[in-house]
Amino acid sequence: MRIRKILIILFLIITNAIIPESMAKAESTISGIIKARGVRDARNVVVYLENVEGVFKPPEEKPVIGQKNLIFNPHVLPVLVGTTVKFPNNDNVKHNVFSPSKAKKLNLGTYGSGIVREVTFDKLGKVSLLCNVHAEMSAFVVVLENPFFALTDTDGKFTILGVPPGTYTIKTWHEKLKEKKQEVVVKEGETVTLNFNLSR
Amino acid sequence: MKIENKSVGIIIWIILMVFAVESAEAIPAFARKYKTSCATCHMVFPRLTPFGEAYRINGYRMPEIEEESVKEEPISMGAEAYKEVWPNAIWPGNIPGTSPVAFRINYGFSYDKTNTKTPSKFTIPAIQLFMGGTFSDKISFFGSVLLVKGHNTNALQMVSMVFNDMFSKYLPEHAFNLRIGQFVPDLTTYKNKHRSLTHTPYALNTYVPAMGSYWAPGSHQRFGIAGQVIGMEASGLLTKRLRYAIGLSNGNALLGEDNKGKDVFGKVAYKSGGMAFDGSSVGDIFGASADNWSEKSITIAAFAYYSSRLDKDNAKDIVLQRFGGDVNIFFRDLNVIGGFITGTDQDYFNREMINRKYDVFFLETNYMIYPWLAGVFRFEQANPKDIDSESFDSVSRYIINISALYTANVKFSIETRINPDIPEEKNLFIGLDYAF
Repeated sequence: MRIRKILIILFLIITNAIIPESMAKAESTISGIIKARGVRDARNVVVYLENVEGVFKPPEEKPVIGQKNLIFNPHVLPVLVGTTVKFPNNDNVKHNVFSPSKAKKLNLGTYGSGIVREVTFDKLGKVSLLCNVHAEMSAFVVVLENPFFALTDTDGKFTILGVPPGTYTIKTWHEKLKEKKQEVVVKEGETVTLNFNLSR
Repeated sequence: MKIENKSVGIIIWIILMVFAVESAEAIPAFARKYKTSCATCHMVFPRLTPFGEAYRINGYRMPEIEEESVKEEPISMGAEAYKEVWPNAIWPGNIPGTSPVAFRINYGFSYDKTNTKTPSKFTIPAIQLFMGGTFSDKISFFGSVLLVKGHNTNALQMVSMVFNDMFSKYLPEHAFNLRIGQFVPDLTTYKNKHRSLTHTPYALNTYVPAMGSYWAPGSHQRFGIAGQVIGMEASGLLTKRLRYAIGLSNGNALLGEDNKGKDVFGKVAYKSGGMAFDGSSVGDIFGASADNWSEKSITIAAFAYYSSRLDKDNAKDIVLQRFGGDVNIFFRDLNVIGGFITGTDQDYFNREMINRKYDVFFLETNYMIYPWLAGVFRFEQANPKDIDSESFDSVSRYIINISALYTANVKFSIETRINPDIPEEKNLFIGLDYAF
């Protein structure tokens, strides 16, 4: 009996190790292009999925929004809810980070060069970040319910990787452009192409 | 050509009413902001293209594509996200990244056979300083100062700020804009001679009822509606093709009106065809033409102006009323514009109150021979009507002008006026006009 159990366990281990990659579940991708009218270019559009089933753990590696040359960088950061973001001051002057947004009201105070402060974003929504020392500085953290999101580049291109098969709502967010949404059906191993035209 | 029956002329041209090619309030500072040619907004400057008109109406911003068109980054006075912080922070805005000023200089050579003292002379240059730009997506400003012209130095012409798209949460886009300051009322095409293609100003601005003539230097008793007023004006789009403007002012800024009565004015205009007032259009409005004025459209407008002025000599208020309209027709390279004003002026004559009634009209055709060459032909007539104690004959004249761009910002012109009632009157003007 014991030998039988050992043999079954060994069999399962061996078969899982040698299952060809092609027989593993293929990942699906959603990609596309955003065309934006009324803004300088189509970068920094957050494209994200809603209604994806599952429990998603925030990443252990903490993303960073730095302050350098009187600019927040990156300007837009999409994150999974529960993610902790680091805010290092990489400038030679003092900076402040605060937000009036409902999704996360915060004020990290004013701090000097080399100091890093952290914030955990635990509510869904957009968080506007400002500096009360330098009024022209701003950035946005977009807190999302799942990790299936992407940020467009200058040309408006985006790719969302590893999407499980299913039917979802795909939405856009931009600080100045109106939100748009579409329904998308994703099949296993498929690459779906979706484009958006956004305007003010 | 002589119009023998002035009534026939009036009937024919009364249907031609102008609106669109109004104040040429685009300036080289805007060219620098977008790193674009003057020709983006102007045909032969200062005449505006349909797009240039939409730019002006949109508060000196490119309709729909402002941000991506700006090449000179503005200086931020606060990030947009500070709107969320207000009232606990200053509402954000910006100032132009480059100096928002421009200059326009014009002078020339004139010949007037009736001037026996100096029939020919080089004219005294006029230098105008313009300023214009935006402070945010909701605030724009515009101004001009006449720096040098003969003995009239440093004359403030216009300075105003416009709050665009007010109450946008509750009203449609472009529905309500508010202009405050010293400005020319947004009523007609022929407000200010510095925005005209011709050197000769429109008779509707300069006709002097008391003199029965088109021009009496130094006279303030001109028939035309006020050149510049100090006050406020609300304007906007009721639909993409229907505009309105209403205003309240002290009155004529140059007269320094200081009575308690206020001037009230208003206008409505409708455009059919071509580019809509908000810069939108359906289909290819310019057809196969590469020219950005070459649309087919007609714009009609009507206005009213009520003025109460203090007659200083008699220390009494007098009332001036004006009604009028204009038409602007674009048909490819041909632009026909026409306008008329009818009105009544109270006046004092030998210490008695009299009423002067007039109508003045014009018809002008502009033809773009080439993108750099325009021909202008204008007919104008002033008709005194029911005058209590004086009477003048109708006066009419023709103005013929050829304007040629050497470059987009340098213009030469040659012009003559013909007075059918004074055939011996011979005159010529050769002008040079440039802006930067």
